[in-house]
Amino acid sequence: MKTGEASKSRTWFLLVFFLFTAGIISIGSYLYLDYSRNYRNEVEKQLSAIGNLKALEIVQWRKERLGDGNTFFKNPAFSRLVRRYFDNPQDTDARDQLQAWIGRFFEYYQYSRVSLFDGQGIRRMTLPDDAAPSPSAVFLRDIPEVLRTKKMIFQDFYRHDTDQRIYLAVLVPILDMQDTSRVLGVLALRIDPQLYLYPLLNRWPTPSKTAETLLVRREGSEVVFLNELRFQTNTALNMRAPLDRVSMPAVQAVLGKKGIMEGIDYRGTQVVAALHSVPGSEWFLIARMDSEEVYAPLQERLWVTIVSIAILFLGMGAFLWIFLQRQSVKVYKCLASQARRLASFVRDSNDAIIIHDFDGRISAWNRRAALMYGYSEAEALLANVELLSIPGKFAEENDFIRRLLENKEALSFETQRVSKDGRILDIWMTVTELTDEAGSPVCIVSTERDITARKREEKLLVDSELSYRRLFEAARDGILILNAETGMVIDVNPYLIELLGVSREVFLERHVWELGFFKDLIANEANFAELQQKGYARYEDMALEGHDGKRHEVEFISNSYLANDVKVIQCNIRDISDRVKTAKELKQSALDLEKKNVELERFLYSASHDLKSPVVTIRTFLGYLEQDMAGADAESIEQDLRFLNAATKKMVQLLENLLELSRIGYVVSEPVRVTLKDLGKETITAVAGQIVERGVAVKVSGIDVALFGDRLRLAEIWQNLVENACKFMGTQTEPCIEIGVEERGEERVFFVRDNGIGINPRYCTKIFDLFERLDPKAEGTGLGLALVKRIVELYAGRIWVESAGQGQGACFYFTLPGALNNQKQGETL
Amino acid sequence: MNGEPIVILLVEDDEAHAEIVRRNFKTSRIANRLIHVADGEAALDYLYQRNEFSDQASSPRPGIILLDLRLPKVDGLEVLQTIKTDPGLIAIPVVILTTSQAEVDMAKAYNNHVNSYLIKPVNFAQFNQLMEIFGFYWLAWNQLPTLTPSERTDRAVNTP
Repeated sequence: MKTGEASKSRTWFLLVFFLFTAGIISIGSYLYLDYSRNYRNEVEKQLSAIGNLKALEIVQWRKERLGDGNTFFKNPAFSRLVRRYFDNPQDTDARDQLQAWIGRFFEYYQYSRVSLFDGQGIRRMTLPDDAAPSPSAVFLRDIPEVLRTKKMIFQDFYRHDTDQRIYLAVLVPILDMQDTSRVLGVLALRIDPQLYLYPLLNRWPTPSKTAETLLVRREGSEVVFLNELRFQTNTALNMRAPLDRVSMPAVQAVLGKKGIMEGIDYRGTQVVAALHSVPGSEWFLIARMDSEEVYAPLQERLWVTIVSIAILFLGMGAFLWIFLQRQSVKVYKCLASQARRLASFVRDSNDAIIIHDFDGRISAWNRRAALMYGYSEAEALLANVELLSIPGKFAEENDFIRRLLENKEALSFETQRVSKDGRILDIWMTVTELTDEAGSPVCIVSTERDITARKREEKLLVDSELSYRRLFEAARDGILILNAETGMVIDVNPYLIELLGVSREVFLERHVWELGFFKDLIANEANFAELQQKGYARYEDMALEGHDGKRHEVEFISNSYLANDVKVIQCNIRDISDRVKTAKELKQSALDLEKKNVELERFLYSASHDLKSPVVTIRTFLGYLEQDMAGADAESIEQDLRFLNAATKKMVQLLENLLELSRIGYVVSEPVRVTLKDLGKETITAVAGQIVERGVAVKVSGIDVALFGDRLRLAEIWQNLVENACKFMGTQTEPCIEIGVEERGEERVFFVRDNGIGINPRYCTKIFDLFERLDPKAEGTGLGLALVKRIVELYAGRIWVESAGQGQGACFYFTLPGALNNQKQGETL
Repeated sequence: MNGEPIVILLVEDDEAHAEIVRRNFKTSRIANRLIHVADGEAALDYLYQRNEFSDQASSPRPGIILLDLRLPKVDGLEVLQTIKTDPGLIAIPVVILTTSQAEVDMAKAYNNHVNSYLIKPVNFAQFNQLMEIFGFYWLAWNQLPTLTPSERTDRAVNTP
């Protein structure tokens, strides 16, 4: 991260550096070019000025020389003297006068020789008159021309035949002033350029190592150098150059070019030259200087510029270098701290980190490794990783690692290693190759984690999962696991499958509300959401309908929890049909008990009143009896005894009836099958006395109806009812009792009908109460109907009486479902 | 105390017990008229002068009612309830005379505004004493309003 920033800023600074560099170079170049342009202008001006000046001087010099000539040309005095001398060579006066003239001239004007030739071209006089050599051939060639044209000529540079020196000359015709058409002779003023012209040319106004002036003229297709050159001797008239050497300034000059040019001079050196012509002559003047000299200051300047730029570069470079240095110091610091961190990470890592080469030689061994395997770092560094392998497995393992590394496969795997104390450890190993700069692998870094404990836990977990699975499979409760989010069935145990009688596939991948079995609880998704919210739910009064339609009373408990990161709802479904049945029975017996308790209470109540009554009577009348016996009142005594008798009789009757009543439901005879016909017969036999006494006709119908139960008890019903009917026949003249069965809807209803006094509908329920008697004068204790009701209820039936009213007869109806159904229910009685 | 005897209505199903009461009054010599009916239905018939009791002369309005609780047909408690909810009968004192010493019976009786609740003693002397005291208290000492002829007319009109 930090190195990234460093390289970014380095790039930035390099960019700035190059921009600066470009700027410096541009400005430097511009300054340099500007300077060199100005400088060249300066130099060119200078060269031109020097050339110009020299050309003017030469022109001036030539004019002077021609002026000198003119001194003698058309000079009558001189002409006369010349004629006198020619005419008379011995005229010494004339001769002396001539010599004086010429001598003075020679003396003052620095001519190297002044000679006087006559019209035939013979030298008649010469000065200085030392041993003069014969005149030059050039003279001899030109003198006739001067004589003929009568005009002065300026004899250009020539080489003297004898002394081989270079001269110039002015040839002046001496005209005969009396006869102008006659030329007396020629005066030759010979000029030695060494005296003035050459020094003039060679002179340079400023100090210069290479500057010089050349004087040239054209001769045919050649350029001829006229003066002695600075760097080469004996050049005048000797040195020539062909005109096709156009790079040569001399050539260019004679070809008519003027101004500044650069070219190659006679030495083959690069030069800058100013070209001038010398007016009035065939000469051309070239002021030249070696380019090297001309550009020396430029060069210098160039160097200064370059050096400056270089210094700037160096400065910039230094700056940049220092900057980068500092940057890299930062980067290195950063790297160093990273390295330190890495080192401490490796050292303190919770995993063992081992570095070894491909032969297994260990080169790094961290604390954790020492802790895990029991070898100290010092021990380990002298050892080979083979040490850690299970004996005999090293080669195989090493090969495996190599293969992994070659194939670049996932480099983590599980293996086993041996610690110093011989324990075998489960290891989760991750191997990485370290490579050198060229990318070839150098060593292996192996990160190893001790997973022995984890493995053990995993095994325990698997074991415990297995045992839980066994619980799940073997449970005698139905267990249904649902996904709490979706309501999908995840798992169902065999018991529930068995309970509901369907296959496992019916459950799986279904929503619980689609199953139908739980429609009472989870009929739809909304119900499920409720269950989801509750988390824990318990329902004890649910019914499941199995595949076979059989209903199971179940207890449903759901609880939600996280299992493997999935929220599930576990539903435990316990078949509590037996329990419910028991509970129902218990409830029924509690009800029965309560009923009995009520009955008992009533009995006690009644007893407290009805049983007490005779006692009160007995005790009181005994008192009266005592009194009456003392008074010997026979009539009263008899009355007292009658009351006493009646009371004791009633008492006995009550006790008997109560005993009988209490027996019902306690004394049980073997249940048998009995038909209504049999019962009717028995009844008539039992109540025969009263029937006969009152002359009652008894009719029995539905004789084939069979009952199943305690024969004596069943018979009691009819006996009591018939007895009752007989008792309340009243004044009926044709008493009749009907015994039979009729079907009312689903029910089979028995009846005992009479045509006696009937019952006020007001008392139709009261008559079945204990000790209830409608007629205080009637016989009986009021227990008969209570007894019947009791028996009917034992057979789960009802009893009621219907009567149109007083004198309309009465009909007792009762049902006996318990005696009609089957043998089994009969047994329970 | 005016000279007119108080009519006592005894509602008692047990003939023996009725005889005991009758004998006691006879012994006490209280100039009263004891009228005995054997069940609740008969008692109500008498009070409302219905059926066999429609003759006002032979079935005068009672000054006090001795009522047994356990009665055939209409129960004593029902008779009490009827008397104490009828403005025409409500003024007649009702004394329960029963063998029942059940708490529930007493409570029911008093809830129905009974005037007194007596339990038949199972002892000859006590029974006699009770009836004697009853006679003194209810028939001698106790004051009852004298009924005007117009009230009698009202009662007749009110009879359902």
